Amino acid sequence: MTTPAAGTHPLVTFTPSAMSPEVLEAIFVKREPLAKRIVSSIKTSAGSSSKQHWLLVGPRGIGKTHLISLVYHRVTKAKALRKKLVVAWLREEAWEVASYLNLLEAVLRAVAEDQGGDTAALIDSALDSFLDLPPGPAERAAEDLLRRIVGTRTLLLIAENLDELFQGLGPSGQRSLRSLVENTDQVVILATTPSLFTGVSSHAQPFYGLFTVEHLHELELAEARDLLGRVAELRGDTKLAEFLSTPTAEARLRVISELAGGHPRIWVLFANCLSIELLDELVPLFVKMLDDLTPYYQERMRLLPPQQRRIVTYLADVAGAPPVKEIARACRLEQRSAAKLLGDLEAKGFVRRAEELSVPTTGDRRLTAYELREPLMRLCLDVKESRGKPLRLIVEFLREWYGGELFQILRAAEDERNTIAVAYVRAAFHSYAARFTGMPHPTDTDVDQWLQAIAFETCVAAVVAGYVGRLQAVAGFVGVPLSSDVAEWTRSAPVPPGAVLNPEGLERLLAAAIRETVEAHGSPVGAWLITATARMVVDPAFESQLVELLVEVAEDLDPERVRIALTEAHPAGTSAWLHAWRQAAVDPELQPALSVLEAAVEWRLTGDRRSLLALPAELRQVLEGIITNA
Amino acid sequence: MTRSMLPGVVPQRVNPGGNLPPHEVIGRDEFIAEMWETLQRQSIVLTAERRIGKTSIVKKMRAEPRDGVGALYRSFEHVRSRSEFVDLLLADIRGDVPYLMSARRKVKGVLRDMGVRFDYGPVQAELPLRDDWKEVILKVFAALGDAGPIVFLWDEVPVMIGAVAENEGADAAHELLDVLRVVRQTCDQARMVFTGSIGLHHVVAGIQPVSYSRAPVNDMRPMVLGALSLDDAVRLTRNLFAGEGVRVASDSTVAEAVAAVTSCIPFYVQHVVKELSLHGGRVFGVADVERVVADALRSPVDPWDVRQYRHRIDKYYTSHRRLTLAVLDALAVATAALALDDILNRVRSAMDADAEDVRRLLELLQLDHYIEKTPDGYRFAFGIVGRAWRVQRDLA
Repeated sequence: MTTPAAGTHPLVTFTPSAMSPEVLEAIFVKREPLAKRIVSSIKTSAGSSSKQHWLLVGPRGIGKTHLISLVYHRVTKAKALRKKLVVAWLREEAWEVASYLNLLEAVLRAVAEDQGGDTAALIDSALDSFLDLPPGPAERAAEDLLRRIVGTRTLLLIAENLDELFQGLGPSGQRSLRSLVENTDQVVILATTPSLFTGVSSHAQPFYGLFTVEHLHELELAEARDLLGRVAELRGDTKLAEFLSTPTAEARLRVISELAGGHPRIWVLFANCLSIELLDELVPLFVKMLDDLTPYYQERMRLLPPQQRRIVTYLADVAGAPPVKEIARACRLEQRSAAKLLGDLEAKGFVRRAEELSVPTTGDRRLTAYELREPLMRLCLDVKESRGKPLRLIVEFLREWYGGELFQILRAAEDERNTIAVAYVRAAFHSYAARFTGMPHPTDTDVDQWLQAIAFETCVAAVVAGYVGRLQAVAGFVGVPLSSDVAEWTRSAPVPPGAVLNPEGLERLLAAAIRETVEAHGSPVGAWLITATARMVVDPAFESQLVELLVEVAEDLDPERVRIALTEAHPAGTSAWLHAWRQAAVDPELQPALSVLEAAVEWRLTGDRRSLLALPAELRQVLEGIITNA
Repeated sequence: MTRSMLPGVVPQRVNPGGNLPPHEVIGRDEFIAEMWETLQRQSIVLTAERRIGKTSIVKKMRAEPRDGVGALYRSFEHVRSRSEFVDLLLADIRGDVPYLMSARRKVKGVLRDMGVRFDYGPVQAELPLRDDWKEVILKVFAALGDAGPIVFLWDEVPVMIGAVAENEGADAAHELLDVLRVVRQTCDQARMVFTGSIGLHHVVAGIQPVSYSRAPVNDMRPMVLGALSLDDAVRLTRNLFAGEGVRVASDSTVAEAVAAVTSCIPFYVQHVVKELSLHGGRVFGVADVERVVADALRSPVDPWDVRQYRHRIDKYYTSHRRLTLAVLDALAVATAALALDDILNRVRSAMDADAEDVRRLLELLQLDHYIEKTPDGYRFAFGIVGRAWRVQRDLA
């Protein structure tokens, strides 16, 4: 398999039937055993009178077209098998079929495409002549022609949206098709459908029991990671491919899997979003795909009674899988009615039960939870609701995947403010900031304060972990150059990442870091905390001296400045500080310092002195002294 | 020649679901002989589809015990506690059973020592529940050791276990089964026959892990009582025709039709003849038999109580209710037995289904006598049950 050059984007189009076989194979995960079974079955069917027909069931975007495309390519690539087959792949023709005759015509056109040459010319001519015949004779003529062309071979009929096709055929058309299959022993059907329908599930219908039915399921996390890895390899992004096997990536993917819900098409979307520069191309195509799907979902919704429609709209809007009780309440329905309506919706394929929340042993439907069966429906509604704003799903993905790095990405993309990618990154960054400031709609000031916290998060983490090199990154991050002596020191005494600095060097580094970044931004509370905790890292026995140090540091500082820091620091910044410290202070030795900060922030936010009661007496007295003096 | 004069015909009155005199229990002698044979070595769990005639069999055994063997019959359908069980056990032992005479004296002595009144009126154990009831059971059975072989024919044991579990907790029900097991292991002269209208496996699964569903009774031999043989079902039918004065076009042909359409289940045979007898005065043919069955299965008042086949699914297959319905629907409309793969495909045509779930379900449905496994695949164990299912479910 040749890997496309990095920078080409074969996956952006979301149309598996238009992808090359190499790409299809490259990103095929989870269903290899099933694909092999189907191919093997087609081989057996082509070589004998025994025929096995397949029906793949799953919501849109689950991978049906990918699977049958792959099977098609494998089957047609095998020369010996190819000779025994005539392939008719009905792609969008399902929509045009309104009778058995229409179906035969569609099949013949597909055969013409498959066979080409003289056969195609023959079919074209014949189809034209059928237009002059009444339906009955035209049907017979079409069947005869098909039989002649197929000869002793096997007709592999690939049909997507079988539910639509059967609806168009109607009962008599279905019976005729069944007769064709039964009487010729030369037809193999490989079909897909988004959900089960009467034509195959009702015992009274001619095709009941004919198909080997396989329900396609969502991707598990490991499978999704496999998919992303393959996409990375396909794009030649070895760095990403390596990163995906790290615990950090695993943790991010776990969060993102909640967004994707295991849906392969959404995972492919996310795989593409891993390269932000692709967003400019990707988003319009994704939105177009959703736009193309929207009429389909709208039509399905229109056929629902109003109360069922309300339930579906609610489920599209809400995150997770709410229980029946909650759905009933939100839709202003009696629980029993809601349960019945959900049962109907389940039978129609709109919703499904979320296994983890149901209580199956009691059989009590009120305790069952439901979710939308087709996540793409939610996305289509999102497009409609968002009215040109960034799509929620992509924003959430970027937020979870990139996290704090979003600011750097945004900074780097400052010159391209009007691109789609920048708009999405900005939206994701604000979403990220909103989470940590605790404000749903942070202002620029909020974000600025929070940025300082990011700086300190990085600074503290760098110091505590001994990553000297990151200090330079911090300086660059906030646009403040390192002073020459710190820069000199780092150059002259390079310390390998992870090494613990000697106390003297650490204090010098701290002093420089504090001077350059802390005092310049007026956050002295952090100053003495960094000092205190850094000392503790160096000297584990230091804890007993913490009280003295705090007093000493407090005396060193201008109390007025401390008071201002504690009382006038922006709430967003204060909370962000706390968050930054919580991220950094994973070492148990840093816990006392963290508890001081937590108490101080709690006091700051609530004004309640009882917040300080969490502290040991000695530390409480010190902090109270500072606050009292303020 | 009147019907009663036909060779082999013994007139019988219809009595569907009622208590039959032992001599009217047809076609079970061989099975009962096998039961007595088994009881020489071990106790029995007698299972069968409802209405097959389990109770008739155990009552016949009670009425016609083997020489030298005592047989006590009791239905525990209404028992809801361990103390009630003990009371009834003691009452049975106290009963007028001559061969228990010497044992009864010993039992009385044992119980008197435990403070239990045994002489007059209803037995009242009046024991605090904790552990004393166990002691009563164990000591009573130990005392019975002198009485010679005794068979306890206990009907509706699963119902009782289920009720005890509901009222006194799963542990209590479990303990009761365990004590009875200890009795079987220590009291060589006592044998038990458990039987009932629901499978013990359902009840036991509800009170302990599924992996131990057979554990409390795995020392007992499971014996499955099937429908009558065709010959016996025909004989029963002809007896009933004679007893009820039902006139038929051709005695053997119509009787065979009755046997076939009822899958040789005595309960349904009785009902068909009863229905015919209610329209006396005319001569009935095969078509009338078919009409009677069709009407009964379709009737909104459900005279044959066939809705219980559906209701049992709701009660005992709650966690896989939809799947169970799909499996039985698929089997009901099939014209022949279905292999597992075919069942899976048909079920998957209606819903997403895991192959292992279906496999386990098929095992359970066999235990509950809904279906049977043949060399060709699975099918409804009794045609009439499959037919009733199709009617109940409005299947083609």
